[in-house]
Amino acid sequence: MENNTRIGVFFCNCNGKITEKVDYEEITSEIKKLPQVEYVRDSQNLCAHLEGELICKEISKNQLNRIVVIGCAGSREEGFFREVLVKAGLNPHLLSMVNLLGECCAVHEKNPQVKVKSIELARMGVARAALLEEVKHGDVPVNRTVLVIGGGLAGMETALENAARGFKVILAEKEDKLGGRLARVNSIIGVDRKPAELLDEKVKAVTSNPAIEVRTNTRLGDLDGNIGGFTAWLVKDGTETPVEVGAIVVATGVQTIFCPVKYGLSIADNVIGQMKLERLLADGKDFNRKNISMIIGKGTEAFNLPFVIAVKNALLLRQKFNATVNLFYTNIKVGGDNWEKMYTDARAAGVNFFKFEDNIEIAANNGEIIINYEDPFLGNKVPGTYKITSDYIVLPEELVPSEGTEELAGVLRLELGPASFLSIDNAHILPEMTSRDGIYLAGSCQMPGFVNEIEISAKAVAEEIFRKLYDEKVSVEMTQPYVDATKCVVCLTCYRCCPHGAITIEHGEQYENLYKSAAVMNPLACRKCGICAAECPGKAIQLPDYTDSQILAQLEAMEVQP
Amino acid sequence: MSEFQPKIVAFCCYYCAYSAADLAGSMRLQYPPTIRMIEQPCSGRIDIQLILQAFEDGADGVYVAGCLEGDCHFLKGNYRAKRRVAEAKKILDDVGIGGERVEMYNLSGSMGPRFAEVAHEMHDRIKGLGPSPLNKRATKKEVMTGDCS
Ligand SMILES: Cc1cc2nc3c(=O)[nH]c(=O)nc-3n(C[C@H](O)[C@H](O)[C@H](O)COP(=O)(O)OP(=O)(O)OC[C@H]3O[C@@H](n4cnc5c(N)ncnc54)[C@H](O)[C@@H]3O)c2cc1C
Ligand code: SF4
Ligand code: SF4
Repeated sequence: MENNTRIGVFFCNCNGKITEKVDYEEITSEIKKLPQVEYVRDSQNLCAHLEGELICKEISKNQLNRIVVIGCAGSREEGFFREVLVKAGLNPHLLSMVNLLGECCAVHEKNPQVKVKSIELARMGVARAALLEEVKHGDVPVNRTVLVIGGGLAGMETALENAARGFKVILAEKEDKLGGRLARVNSIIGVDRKPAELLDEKVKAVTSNPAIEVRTNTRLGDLDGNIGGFTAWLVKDGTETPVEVGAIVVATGVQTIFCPVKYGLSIADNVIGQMKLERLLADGKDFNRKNISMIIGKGTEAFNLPFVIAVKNALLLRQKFNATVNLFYTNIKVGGDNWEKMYTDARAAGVNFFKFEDNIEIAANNGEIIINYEDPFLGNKVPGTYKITSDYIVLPEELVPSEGTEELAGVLRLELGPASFLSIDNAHILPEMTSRDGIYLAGSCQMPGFVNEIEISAKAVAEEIFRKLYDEKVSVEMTQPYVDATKCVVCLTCYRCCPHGAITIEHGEQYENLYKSAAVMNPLACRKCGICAAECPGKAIQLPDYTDSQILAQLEAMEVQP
Repeated sequence: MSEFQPKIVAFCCYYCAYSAADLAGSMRLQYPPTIRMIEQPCSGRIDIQLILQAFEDGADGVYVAGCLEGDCHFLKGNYRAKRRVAEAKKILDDVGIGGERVEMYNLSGSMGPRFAEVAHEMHDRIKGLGPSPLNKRATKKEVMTGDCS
């Protein structure tokens, strides 16, 4: 503890809301007894603009270097007082807020116990203030190259968006050409252009952009470091080459698995999946006046994609080939731009929609498809099993993460979310963010999605990367935990338990322990949860603003004789 | 001395329990003044040492309040807190203070009424248990311990 700690306590009445329950005089007479308290003052309304200037003056006049505000602790007020500290030339972290209003006055009736509590809370705030430490800003050099993994539409869009913001981009695709799943799709809902055309345009834009380097037949083998300073080992033909990048975008998409066994069928010319149907349509196969049945259900309801594709293709077959299309469904989900309209259009165009619950039997006999099912609606009027004969049966594919997603997640140190897709961090913040800053998700790798969503998600990712890595050097507040190297035994506990992968083990003579190494927290990647500080068996880690000594001092100050 | 009034420390996560407490304040929900809150960035910040130290400093009960399971702002901090609280319970049982004096609660930032409910629950429980053997404020008569004095 510094010897010249001078604490100023500012007490707010909050227009009488606080003093109606507790007594200012009683609290301050106790507070004034505390050794380092140099100045105490009360105010009717401390967060008023003029009061800010007054606090500023008092800070310089009394050479105060720790400030306690007793009143409320709203984030708006906290921001206001931090600004006041900065104006007065103090570090904004030398502020301790005591929420007397929310923790005491608003929730208790006036009585002797409340008096004791109010004095204690004030003492706890002062005790914490005495131990507060400055938190400085630091300049962190960052690498402004972005690695995009996966060269589907999402990967290409993200590459272009990042290049447009002045980043260099390395686009790694595991296949020998760009394009991804969309290259095999026949049409895009709501878009008048052929997917092949759209992709061609993107591939040209990507390959002709001098800021984008495309690496095909390439996968990510290993990864080290953190946002602003990753080392990625790219594997091509069995050889690994390291590249230095500042951020990583995963755009590995989905894969479809055709599994007719689930419906009691085996692969045949007239038993096909939606993906195959798209392919046949794109290749110009004639379905003129055919009878085609489609199914949605049996566990494919988790995502929107299968419904929308089925309705899209049903409508197309009906309109283009005058085919008879029967769509068997357990549920129809068309929540999205214009999808509802597409569904009503399909009905109006004469697509037959049949609801089934569980009872459906499909058999493929001599090139003929026979479907027996029970209709829960019609069944009330005309009970029994209905039979429909078709030329083709089109089944929905299973949508699963791209092959190798699990290994990739391991390398990136990300967790997998629902259905083993890559997991977003917090849908409320930015759906493209992962639990690790500097690693983002674009396109279908987090959930099977649509083309129109890809552009938005690519832009969002590029903006977020730009926000973080806006220059060769970025200024950050060093609020990440710090490690006392003399206590660190390099046990890797913190490295393993950090939910944001923000910790690395660094080596060097400056680390004064047997191993000449210590854990180091990255200021750009750390989110200040303090989990590492709690887990460290050596108590080597301290989280600024919540150090052990600050919390212990608060506990100790609790003890007060009424 | 008047009726026993326990002293209970609540380590509250900023993102949920502390916001819930704030909401309870805005809603003017009443709860016993025996609760002392200490705000934390995450319930996962609280380690066993801090829980035990609270008892050494005279607390009669301690609870850690974090986000609902699966909803932790930092993914799994509340699961870590849960494990540590379970561990602290064992230690407190072993040393004769009693594991019931410490508890883990999960609530979201919008659960102001639940916050007040938890405060009541913990207050009633600790009041029923009487002062902690380490509580120096309580008179000798009130301290129920036999072998810990
Ligand atoms: C049958 C069907 C019909 C569809 N119809 C429509 C429609 O009408 N309208 C619409 O909006 N959307 C439609 N979609 C969805 C659309 O295809 C996707 O939204 C889009 O293709 C997703 O693009 P992506 O870049 O995210 O993924 P993908 O196109 O799957 O691209 C992923 C790329 O990453 C590569 N890759 C995978 N793993 C790795 C790795 N580990 N390392 C390096 N590279 C890797 C892959 O090789 C691939 O090139 C349809 C999808 C299907 C299956
Ligand atoms: S947990 Fe503590 S002792 Fe172990 S590596 Fe991290 S800082 Fe060092
Ligand atoms: S405070 Fe949290 S995010 Fe930061 S290094 Fe520690 S565990 Fe990781």
